[in-house]
Amino acid sequence: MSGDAIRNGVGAHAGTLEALLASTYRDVGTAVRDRLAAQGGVPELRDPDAALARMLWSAHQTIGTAVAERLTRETGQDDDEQHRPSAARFPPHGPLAGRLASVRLKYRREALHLAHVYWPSDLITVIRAALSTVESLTQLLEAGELLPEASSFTTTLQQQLAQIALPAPQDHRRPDQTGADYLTEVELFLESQSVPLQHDLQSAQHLLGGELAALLDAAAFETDFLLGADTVAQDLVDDLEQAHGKAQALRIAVTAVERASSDFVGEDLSQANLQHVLLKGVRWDAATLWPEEWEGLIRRASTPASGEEGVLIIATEPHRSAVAADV
Amino acid sequence: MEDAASPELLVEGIPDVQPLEAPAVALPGRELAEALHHEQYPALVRFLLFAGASWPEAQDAAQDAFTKMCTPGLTISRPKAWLRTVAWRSWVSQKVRPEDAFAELPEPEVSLRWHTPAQAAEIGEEAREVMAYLLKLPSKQRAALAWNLDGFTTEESARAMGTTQVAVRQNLSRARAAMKTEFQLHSDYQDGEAPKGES
Repeated sequence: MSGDAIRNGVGAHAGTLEALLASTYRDVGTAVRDRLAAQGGVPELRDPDAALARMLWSAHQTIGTAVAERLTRETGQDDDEQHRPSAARFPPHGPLAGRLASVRLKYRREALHLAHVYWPSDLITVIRAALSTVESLTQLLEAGELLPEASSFTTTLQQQLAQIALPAPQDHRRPDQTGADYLTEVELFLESQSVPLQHDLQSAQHLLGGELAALLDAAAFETDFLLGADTVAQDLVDDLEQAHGKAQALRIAVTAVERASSDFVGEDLSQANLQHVLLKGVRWDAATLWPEEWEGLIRRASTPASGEEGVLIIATEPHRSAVAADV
Repeated sequence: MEDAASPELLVEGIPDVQPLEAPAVALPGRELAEALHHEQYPALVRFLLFAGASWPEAQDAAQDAFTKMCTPGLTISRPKAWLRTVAWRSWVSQKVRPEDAFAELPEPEVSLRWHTPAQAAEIGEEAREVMAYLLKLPSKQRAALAWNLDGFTTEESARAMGTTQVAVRQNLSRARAAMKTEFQLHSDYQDGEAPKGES
């Protein structure tokens, strides 16, 4: 073990052993949490009676298998080669990229729902339309004329901004040492981009409702107020331009969540529990490992992705009824 | 998962490091198991991973500890430490044959499952290197560090491991010194300083 990676990464941990250990401790905690979640959560508490039942069942199964093997004289082909975990893949950068593939798949439906909640419509188009409205108004104000339709601009703007409804920030409990569970991480990630956008939009709404509308009303009687209205309209343009940039950042975050929820090219999902998981839209390829009993179903439900050689997309939900083998 | 994260290791030198578990009235094991199972199961698995267990071994041992906690008539006053002691013993018993009687802490064979991306893609390269190096340390040092990272004081870990505080401090100190050398790191405090967290 060379330790080179750590030496190179010392800066990230302020160079102290304590920080390095705390970071490792937290990462392993997150990994444990994810692996347990991928297995279906913390196993049920087994009291001694249940433990005895499990031991008996396990012995029964083991002996049954051994007897069957002897009777059929099967050589028992070692399928380790076939199911060896694929070589490590490092997905694109992003806070969700390091989470276990089976956890991303398990919570796919919920993560995609969150992505939709934070990006209900094309916010960039809505903000562009609002910008265009304000710019038309400023041209009008700069001409020094107050036409009767000026007040209709504020109504239009209010309607345009009202189309943007983002979820209010939540008070997430984020444990310092173990890391957040996957869905909290997704929500925190999206929220980190939506909060600055909301801040700019609130500021724009404040300028619009609190100042611009009042100045335009006053300008109807006293044209001196037109200059003030023009200044406020310019501020509104600045706020909306900032909001436009932040909406683009939110769009990138939403795309990253969608990619983390749908891109399973080359991932090892052989241990994933696919019951009740939303599979339609998942991208995969020949290197993706599926649970043995699901592979055929998924293959039949998939179609090649256009423009990407070797990549398949699950086109319909593969249906299957099965009884859990475990007790 | 509960986390107190090493009060002595990270803020050693602060005069009053509180024990993770104050002595309390002994409660029936079954009740404690139900109350603690959800929170402590992942913490217990991580504790065992730091002690050197593989993923399946850690899960088996954690399950075993909770099952033993449900033993009728059993009462426990320090359940978190109790769980770790019992789980650790359960893991050791998986690795050490009963006929290998030992007076000293055994050196169960560790499974280097965390040093390759294929085995632990979800933790970063840096964390994998730390884990891989931890597993090369002697088991006493690993165990002392695992207790410490889980937030137990040296007094608590000494009591749980059936050893002395001096021995625990020495093992912690050696583990830290070895890791600092390996990773060329400095510490927030001097290794020569005795922990002052406990009386």
